[in-house]
Amino acid sequence: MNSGSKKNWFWPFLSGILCALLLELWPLPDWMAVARPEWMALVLIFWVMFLPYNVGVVTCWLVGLLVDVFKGDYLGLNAMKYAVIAYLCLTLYQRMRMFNLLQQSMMVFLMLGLTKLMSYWWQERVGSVSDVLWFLLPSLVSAVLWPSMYYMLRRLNYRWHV
Amino acid sequence: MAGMHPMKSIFSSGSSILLRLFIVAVLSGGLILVDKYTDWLDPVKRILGVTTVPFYHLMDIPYETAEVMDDMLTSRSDLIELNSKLRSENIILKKNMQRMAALTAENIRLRETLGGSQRVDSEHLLAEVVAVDPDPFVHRTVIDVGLNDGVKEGWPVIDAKGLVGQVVEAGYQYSRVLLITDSTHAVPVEVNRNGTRAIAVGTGNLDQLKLIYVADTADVEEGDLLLTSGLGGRFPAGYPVARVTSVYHDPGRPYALVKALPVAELDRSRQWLVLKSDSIDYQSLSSDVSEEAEDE
Repeated sequence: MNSGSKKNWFWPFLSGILCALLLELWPLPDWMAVARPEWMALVLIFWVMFLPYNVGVVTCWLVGLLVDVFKGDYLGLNAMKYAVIAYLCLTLYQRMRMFNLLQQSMMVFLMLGLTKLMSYWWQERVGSVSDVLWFLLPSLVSAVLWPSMYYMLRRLNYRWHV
Repeated sequence: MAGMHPMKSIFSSGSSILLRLFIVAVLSGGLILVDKYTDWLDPVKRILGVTTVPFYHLMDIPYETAEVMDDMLTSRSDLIELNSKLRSENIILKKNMQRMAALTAENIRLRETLGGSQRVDSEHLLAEVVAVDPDPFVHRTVIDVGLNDGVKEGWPVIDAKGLVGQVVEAGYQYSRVLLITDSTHAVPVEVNRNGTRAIAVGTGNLDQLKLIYVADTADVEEGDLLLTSGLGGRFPAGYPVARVTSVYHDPGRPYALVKALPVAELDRSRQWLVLKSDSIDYQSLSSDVSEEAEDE
């Protein structure tokens, strides 16, 4: 991990975003869709931790707008969520890098759960929400997936000399 | 270059990050509210929506291949069986159609004698479902017709069995359909047996609708077919919506609890019809009637 500004990060970043977008939208049966991991948030957390000087609040916000368009949500809903995730990550990344993977996973769960609650509140303001606590399940699944995700993306980044 | 002086940037970036977060958070909040209460953002969304087209094609690949494989691997005996089944079904449908023509004519004559307005058959567009909303609590799908095909927001969507939902967002090549079972959707219905009116609201559950404001004494029974009543002007009258599955009278509640099962195959069918809603010209129909009234 390097904290300096990088030049050849953009294409790996973009391909990661596109893959995450595809996974976010891929049709799943209902019982699996309830537990669909937040791929995009995981990818963004990784990149903010990896290159905090390149990927920040505004980048994540723009990615969120893209996700809003693709999911057909109100414009700004996911954007705000990802911007907050990026902010939390930027304030915590130096600590997160020192953590072991289990601690990182817990941080990821906290960040995703917190932002999920926030976007849930907004969704409740402007539309409708389910009345069960299932909406926190994706955060949990994402946290469980974090270590493998982290390893995979880091290896790819080393291979691509990012 | 921030990267060249990591120590300096650690201390200087803190407040600017917070400032950025504040700006984008206010922006997003504003966008959400503008998007919710106005249609100013619709053109922007439409243009951005063009980028989604290749994704839907990509996500459709597994289904397309499965369909192609299915077509290639169907056995001859299966085809013969299917053919004979379709043929007998066709005969039955044709028989019904014969009576339909006579009934329609009779209906029009009766309505003319009564001086009532005529019901018009609406035109339709064939649409295929290409994507389902990734959020399991939101019942919305994407269909492969859009503004380029003339689709407009608010047009009703049906399948072979009954009402599916309505178009809520029309892009250039794709549009989004809100299903009748979404918890934000409501459709005015009437009981086919006796014309009792009610409103069928989605529950967020694909196999359940509930009727609201049904008086405890209202004549609604289990097994009743609910049709669109045409009130409200969004859905043309007479399309099947759901069948009542349970009626529960709770003395402690002001209204009866009525649940119904949608007749359309919301989670199975892929071929839907979008009804061209403005081919039903409510305005001119009602003005015809008033002119007739003036003539008399």
